[in-house]
Amino acid sequence: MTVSTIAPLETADGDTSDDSQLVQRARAGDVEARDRLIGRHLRDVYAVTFRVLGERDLAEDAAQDAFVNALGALPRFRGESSFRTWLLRVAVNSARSLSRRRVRRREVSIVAAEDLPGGEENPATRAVLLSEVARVRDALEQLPEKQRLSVTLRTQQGLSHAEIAELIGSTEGAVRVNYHLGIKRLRELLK
Amino acid sequence: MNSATCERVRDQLPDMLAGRLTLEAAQPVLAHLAACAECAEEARLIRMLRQEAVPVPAGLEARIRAAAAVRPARWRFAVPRPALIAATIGAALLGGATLLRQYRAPAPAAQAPAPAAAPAPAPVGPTAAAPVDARALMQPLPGSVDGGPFSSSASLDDLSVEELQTLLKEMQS
Ligand SMILES: [Zn+2]
Repeated sequence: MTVSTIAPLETADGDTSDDSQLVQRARAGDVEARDRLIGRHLRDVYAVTFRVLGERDLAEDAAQDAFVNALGALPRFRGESSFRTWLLRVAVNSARSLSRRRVRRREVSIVAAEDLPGGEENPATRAVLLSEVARVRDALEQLPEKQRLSVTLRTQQGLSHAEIAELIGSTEGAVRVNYHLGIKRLRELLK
Repeated sequence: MNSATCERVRDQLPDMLAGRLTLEAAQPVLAHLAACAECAEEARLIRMLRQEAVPVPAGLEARIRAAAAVRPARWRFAVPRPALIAATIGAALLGGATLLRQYRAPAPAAQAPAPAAAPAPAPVGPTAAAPVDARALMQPLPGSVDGGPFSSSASLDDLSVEELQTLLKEMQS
């Protein structure tokens, strides 16, 4: 697959200034730039911490830690990888460090209506979607962490295998294998 | 069927279903999906996964902005203990979890208005280099309120392989 066939990811806020400009400004103490970095990367950071931890409250704490730590460490950010990749790696580490302080819940995950992506107004359709989403989430919970992260970061966050490898401390080849193993297992679980 | 083609197609499915492939790149993938049940099944799973994506909890952005403004690092653990305990007891007395959650988001006033989705360009005429824009496809199609080929709530995630192919053909013609 060649890179040129893939359109660049658009940020959540449709903001066109690139991260490196915002990083430079945030480093110089620009509050607006810092807040924009938070706004445009929060969805991905929270997705990462939620996938590692599996519960909302802890995932929120870890997301907060990730931003506070990463923004506090901006002076040491050298720009060797993209800011996004670097930030998401901090998020993985923040979540893993919270995870070590407690035992992962193994019970069936509860999907609340507010955990659903918006847009489905019809209550009956929404109920069906909710149970479908709950099944998928429960199946994801049963995957080992590396498979779960490889599958969700690839299909939901749109990261490449190489980017995921950088985040979780693995190799591109291993992420690819974990991705395909995870997909295979999900297909069995959701039959 | 399980071949080098299947492998390549499966590697591309997440990007295609997110609308990140160009028309040119998407066509062989769609053609393969029409012929290969296994890969079509995998495409269905990835669509389900995309629906499962967790949304960001309300109030989290404001809470993080406030935290980033307060301390450079580890502020959660730097709150003086007696204050934390008093606040926790107070919150518990006054109504438990909801208040506790509010306490953890200290600056609701700083809540930014949800960023408006970027005005998605309508999927006008095809240029070979134009990516299939999923967001644009997820918007109600102009003039399709009373039922074009796809209903006004059409999104890539709802479409079957056949419908995706029809849509691509229409965009090209
Ligand atoms: Zn195939």
